Amino acid sequence: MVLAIIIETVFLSFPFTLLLSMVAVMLLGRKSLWLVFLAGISLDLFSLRLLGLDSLIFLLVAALILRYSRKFQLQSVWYVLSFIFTAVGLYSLYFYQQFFNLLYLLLTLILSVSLMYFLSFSVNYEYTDKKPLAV
Amino acid sequence: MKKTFFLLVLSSLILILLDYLTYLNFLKKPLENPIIYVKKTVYTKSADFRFLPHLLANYKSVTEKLDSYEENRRSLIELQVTLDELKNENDSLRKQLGSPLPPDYLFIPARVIAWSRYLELDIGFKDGVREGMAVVEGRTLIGSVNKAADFRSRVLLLTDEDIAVPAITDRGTRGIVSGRFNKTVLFDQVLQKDPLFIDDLLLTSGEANYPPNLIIGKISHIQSDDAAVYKQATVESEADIPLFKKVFVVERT
Repeated sequence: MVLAIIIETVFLSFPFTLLLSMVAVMLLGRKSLWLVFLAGISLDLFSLRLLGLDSLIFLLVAALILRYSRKFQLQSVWYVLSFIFTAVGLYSLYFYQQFFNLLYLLLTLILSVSLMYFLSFSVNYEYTDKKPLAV
Repeated sequence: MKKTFFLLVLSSLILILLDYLTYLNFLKKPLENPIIYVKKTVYTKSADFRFLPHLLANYKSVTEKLDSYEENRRSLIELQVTLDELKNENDSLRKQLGSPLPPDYLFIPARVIAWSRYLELDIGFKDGVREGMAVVEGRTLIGSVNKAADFRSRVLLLTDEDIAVPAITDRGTRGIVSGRFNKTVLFDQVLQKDPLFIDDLLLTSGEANYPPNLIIGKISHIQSDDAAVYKQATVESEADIPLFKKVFVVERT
């Protein structure tokens, strides 16, 4: 996470921290809220933004993921990918004025697919405290 | 768990409010120096890595540029000899007159510590940097300061939509320079009747806190619609940002 913040604020205007935060929420569920909050604060400090702005955005994204956790649980690739693309796209457009940058679209795709691959092998991931539905 | 979430959201909102009212500066100040150190180190060490995509994407133009630089280098050596002679002559004349010419502008040197959407400099409010000051490299305009913390500042680049630089071409056509999607530089609000041609040199007009005659770039593409009030042109910027290590913040004295 520290490396992501440094890369994002020093030389590559791509929302690595947001992407990692989303993955952290998918992996750790509600336990990741503090991590997401601290990542947002650190990003604000590094990027000279209003302190708390990024943490608020990350928390709202985390809330959305947790709210629709069952859909994520079904491991629908397109659902997760479209969510990540929308979040990363809107964030990039607002904070970095990046709009349909082919390089960044590819980067988002590669990073999200590799992280999802990592997710699928993770045994202990949990999105919610609720028990999954028994079929 | 819901409690934690609402507590964190509330904390974020309180932090935003307190920071907006500048009550958190005492907390942020001690963190400035370590952040600058980390950013400066990473930015300096990653110079080659950062330049690689730029080199790959613009390989042809870079090799062409190298050839022209080589030619320029040779002519520069010849010019250097003439310049040295003229400099010596000028120095002796100044001494003779006893009046060193007062500069209209004060140049504050700064090191670049980061470049993503903005360019970040290692000098800030304490060094005399204020919002709105122009940032240059040689005679080329890079942008203007849009946020100054105590020890670092953030520069809005010409490719940014939030910048508006009053500019004038070498033919006298006036307009406003602004950016689009952090990628291109546009020369906008040009009257239809005003002459505008490809390869016209674009300079600052001297309004809105920008010193006059700073180079912005050359007109590379013109978009003209007869029905529109204004015409627009794309500008090929002279600023080669990936290569910048040191720049100057300009203050009008």
